Amino acid sequence: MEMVVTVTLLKDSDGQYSLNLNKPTVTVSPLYEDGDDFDTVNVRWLLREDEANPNYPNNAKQLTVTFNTLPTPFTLTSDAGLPSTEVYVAGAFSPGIVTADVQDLAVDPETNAVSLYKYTIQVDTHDGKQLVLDPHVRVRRSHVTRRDIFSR
Amino acid sequence: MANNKKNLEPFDAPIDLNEAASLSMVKPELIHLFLYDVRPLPPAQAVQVKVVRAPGKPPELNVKHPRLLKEGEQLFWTSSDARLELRFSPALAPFSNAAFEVPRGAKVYSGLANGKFGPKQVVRYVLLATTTDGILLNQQIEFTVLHPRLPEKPKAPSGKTKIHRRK
Repeated sequence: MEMVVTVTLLKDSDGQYSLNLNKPTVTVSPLYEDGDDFDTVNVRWLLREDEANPNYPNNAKQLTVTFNTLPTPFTLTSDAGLPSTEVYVAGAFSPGIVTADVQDLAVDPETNAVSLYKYTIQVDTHDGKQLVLDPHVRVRRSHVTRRDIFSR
Repeated sequence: MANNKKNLEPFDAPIDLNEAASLSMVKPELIHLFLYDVRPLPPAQAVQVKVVRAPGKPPELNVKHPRLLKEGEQLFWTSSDARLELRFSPALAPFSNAAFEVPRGAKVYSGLANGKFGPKQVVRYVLLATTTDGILLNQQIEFTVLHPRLPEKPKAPSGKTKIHRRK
C-alpha cells in the first residue's frame, strides 16, 4: 500500500514560487490493514505544478527528498553506516519515487508507539530557484487503514 | 466554546468522510485519484541492478535493462544490492529530468519520454551503484526510445496549381 505525498509547485505572475504538500506529515506503519487483507506500506513522493502557473508546465524540474539522519523508516537494516544520508531524486511530472517498505524497527514495539522522522523536500525549477520544506514521516505501531489515506 | 469541537480533533482526523461503510466501498487507488488527483501509473519496464560477488574478485554489476522503450511506457530503476544514481546528458535527456537517485530497495520512475528528439532516439546514460560496503561501480547503458510520429500537416497548394478564371 502506497501513501502518496504530492508536492505541487505554485508560481505567481511576478515569478515567485511556493510549494503545497497534501500531507505535511504522512502517517505510515509497518503494516496496512484492509478488512482481512494486510500489506506492507511504502511512501510515494511526486512533483507536479499547478496548471494555473505562468509558463506551465515548464517550471518544475527536479524533486529531491533527503533524510539527514539514518536509519529512516525505510532503511534496509544491512545499510548500517553507509551512506550518511538517504537521498531520492526524480523529475517533475513523473510517478516519482517509491520507498522500500516501512521497516518494523522504525517504531517501538509497544501498541501505542509513534516515531517522527524529519526529512527535507527540495524542488528545483528550470530558472534556477530552489524551494525547501521540512516535513515529517510519522510511523505508528498500530496498522494504517484506508482512513489514514484521508488524513491531513 | 462548548461547540468548538474542531479544535479538539487530532491533526490526522479524517477530512470529511466519517462513515466506515462508505470508506470500505472505495479502493485506495480511487481515494488517491479523487482526493489528490494521483493517476494510475503508465506501464513501466523495470531496470534491475544486481551486484555480483565472486570470491577473490571485485564486485561487478549485472544490469537487466530493456533495449526498447515504446510510446507510452516508462522505466523504473531498483536494486536490492546498491544505491543507484542515473546520469543523462542534460541536453539529450529523454525524460523530464537528467538525474535520478534511489536508495537500496526503493524505486524511482522516469516518467514518460518527452519526445523532443524525433521518432527514434538512441539514449546513453551512466548508471552508478554504491554497494552497502561502500564500493562504487559504474556502467554505461544504451537503449532506444520510440516516439509517436507527429501527424503530417496538410500540404499547402504549390505555385504550379492552375487557376481557372471565369471569363
